[in-house]
Amino acid sequence: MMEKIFEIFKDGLWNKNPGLVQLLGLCPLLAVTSTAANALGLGIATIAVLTVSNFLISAVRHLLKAEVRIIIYVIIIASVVTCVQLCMQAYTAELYATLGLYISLIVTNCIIIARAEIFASRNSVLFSALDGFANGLGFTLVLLLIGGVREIIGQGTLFAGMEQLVGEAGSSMKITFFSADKGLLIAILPPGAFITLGMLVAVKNFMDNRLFVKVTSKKRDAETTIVNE
Amino acid sequence: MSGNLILESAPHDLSVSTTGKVMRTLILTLIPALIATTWFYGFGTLITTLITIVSCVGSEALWLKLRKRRIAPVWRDCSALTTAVLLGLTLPPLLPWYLSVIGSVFAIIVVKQVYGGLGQNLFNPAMAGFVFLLISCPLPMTTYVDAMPDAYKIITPGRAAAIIFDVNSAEAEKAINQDLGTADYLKRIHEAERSVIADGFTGSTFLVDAKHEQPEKNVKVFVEAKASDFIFYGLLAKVVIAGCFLLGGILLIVKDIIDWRIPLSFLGVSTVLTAAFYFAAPELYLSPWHHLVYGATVFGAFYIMTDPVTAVSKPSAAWIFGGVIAVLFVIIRNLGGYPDAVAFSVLLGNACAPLISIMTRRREFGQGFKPENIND
Repeated sequence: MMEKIFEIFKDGLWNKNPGLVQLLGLCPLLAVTSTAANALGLGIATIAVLTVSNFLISAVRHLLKAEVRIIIYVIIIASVVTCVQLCMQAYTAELYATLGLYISLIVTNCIIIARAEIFASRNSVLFSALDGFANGLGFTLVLLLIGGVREIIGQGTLFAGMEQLVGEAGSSMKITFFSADKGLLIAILPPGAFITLGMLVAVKNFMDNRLFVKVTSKKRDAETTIVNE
Repeated sequence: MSGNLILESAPHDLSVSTTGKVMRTLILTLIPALIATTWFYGFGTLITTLITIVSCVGSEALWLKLRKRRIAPVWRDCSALTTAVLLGLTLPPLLPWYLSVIGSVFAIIVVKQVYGGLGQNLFNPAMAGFVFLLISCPLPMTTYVDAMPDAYKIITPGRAAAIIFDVNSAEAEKAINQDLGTADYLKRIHEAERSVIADGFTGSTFLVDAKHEQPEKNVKVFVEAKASDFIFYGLLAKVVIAGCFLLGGILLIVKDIIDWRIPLSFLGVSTVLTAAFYFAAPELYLSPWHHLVYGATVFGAFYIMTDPVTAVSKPSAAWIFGGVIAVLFVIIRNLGGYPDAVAFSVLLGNACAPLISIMTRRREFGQGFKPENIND
């Protein structure tokens, strides 16, 4: 049980990270990550939708006919997104105005339907909800990382506009590195998103290769010692 | 063997050129242009070029070291040096040093090395670095030094370095303005116009100014107003520098280093298209003459588009390649938001190059052979 939960989180956060490995949901990943606050806002919304939709789909998975399952998934996901959207409109109105369209576009985010089809339709309610949470968290971390890098390079700040997300306390979270007129504008523009994502994927692959090489060489060493003995 | 018998068999590499030799020749042909630029615009370009050389060669060596490759090719093939010189010539002369460094590092590491190094890059590194900076910092990247006579005496190496490295830059600017105010050519200029010159020595380029006149105001009136006064020096500088690039380009063609079809096709098509725009609405668009002389048109035609890595190599494809870039160039210049379109159109042309290569046919081996097309 604990092993399976560990596995779910390891896959969602690193091995099968939806943002860096599966490269799903590129539209929001590239479009709203111009600042860390926007990225975090969309990320939290995605976590909520993923967890709840995975939970619901797993709960009704025995009642579904295979022929119509995708339609049911979409209906469930759309209802959850609508709830999240209404909540955001009520509690974080400014952030909702900034993200606007992308909140409702979570419906079409392929991560959610992918998790529903791959995981929630085959696993128990608890695991499905955890899987949704882990994948949402992995996606959010990637969003936050890209948003942070783009914000720092592009306008020299980090966590600007957090008050839209967490209220008054957020305005003190803003960190200024250098004045905005020295920023490289390209980081905020669409090419900056593609370049940053590419770099992140490269860094992840580099780390994987290094870890992988180390593990295999250790294994090989162990094997050779056994043979020698 | 008598001269009219030519044997064509398995592809013989007739030239003895190496990458390093080609690149060094290319850099040597740029020296007249560098001298002319220094003559008309002061020492800013030379210092910027030195900065780009240090950062391009340095980042290439560093990256090859990180990739655990041999570093010797950096010096032997001189490709990073060529990129640096081309970038240094296109950047504004008095650009802050850190922007030159950022542009160079982007050009070498992201545009060239990430794609696999020399011969693997999809886009021309110098132009991609230039576009990166132009999009990132529009204001400093469109502030060029105005052409002035005796610029090499006014913008001395010390003053240019002071402005570029932002050490006592205010004093250096003041000194330059003072020298400008007392320059003897001022006496030849009408008194009312002197204040215009003394105002400052940097500003947006002719193409940017003309772009802002369009479409509300009349470009024709703007050009006529500019033509009479001190802009003469600007025009002279542009013509001389374009001449230097033309000379260097012809030298490269004679040495068989670049394909003559690409510049010819580009310059021809863009002349025809800009002429069409001009004759359709002379009050809206600049004349072909202005398009050819101002901006980096000639430089781009001979030195950027003919980059052997990112251009097409087949003769028939070369005509199309030059033409495609020319069409993009004219569209961006006349209808787009960025005034100097060479960099953007070259990058888009680079993106089209593989497709153009695939869609044109090579002469079948042995078919239609004539001694003239032995290298086709």
